[in-house]
Amino acid sequence: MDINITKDDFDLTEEIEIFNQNSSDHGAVSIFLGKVRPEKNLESMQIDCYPEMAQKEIKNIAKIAYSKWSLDNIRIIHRYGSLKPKDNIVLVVTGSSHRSDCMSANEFIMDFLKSSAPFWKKEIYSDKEVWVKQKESDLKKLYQYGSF
Amino acid sequence: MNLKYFAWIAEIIDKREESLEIPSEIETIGQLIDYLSSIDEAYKKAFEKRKNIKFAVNQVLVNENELISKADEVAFFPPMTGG
Repeated sequence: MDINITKDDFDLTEEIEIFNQNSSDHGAVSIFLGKVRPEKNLESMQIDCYPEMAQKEIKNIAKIAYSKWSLDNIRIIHRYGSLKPKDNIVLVVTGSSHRSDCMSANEFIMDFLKSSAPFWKKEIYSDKEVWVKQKESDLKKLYQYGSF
Repeated sequence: MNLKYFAWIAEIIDKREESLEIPSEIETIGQLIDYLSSIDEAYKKAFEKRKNIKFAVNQVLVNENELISKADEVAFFPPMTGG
């Protein structure tokens, strides 16, 4: 398991290389890369973060993912700070023997990151600034897993 | 007590972190919010819509009834929007 909360950008190819080096037994790898959506007039996205809590919370959710699915390795990167449209925000890589485990675990981790990890997005447009509100649909995705 | 604020709450209070002497009768997060709201308009405004605010004590999400002590790090923030 490797969790990185950082302001720095990352290179997808390098990250997958590191993931593979630190893994031993996977026949399947699921990769989710989240980017800043280039909305009209969006100049940048500010992501606020509580890094100490994010590290703890994401580690906790990764442990839960390990307990729910048969996984070989998990690598999570979440950026904060000032990002531009199309910049990388988040990377979740999960590996398992077969595809269903790594795909389900990847979605579970992303559903958690959306609504329960301490990050807050603010969209900076040419004429206004908007704090992104939590979506009920994102919370519902989390509820489907029940209590864990 | 070490207090941390994030997102729009930090903007309204105009601080991200501070260390405050809290009266000893303040025992819970809810009481702490009431106390802060009573000493300054900025806190009052930030904590106005309390249902929109989440809290963590020592980086663990808690509810308003959570007991707190001087040595704790208490954080206030809106619902999360990561990913």
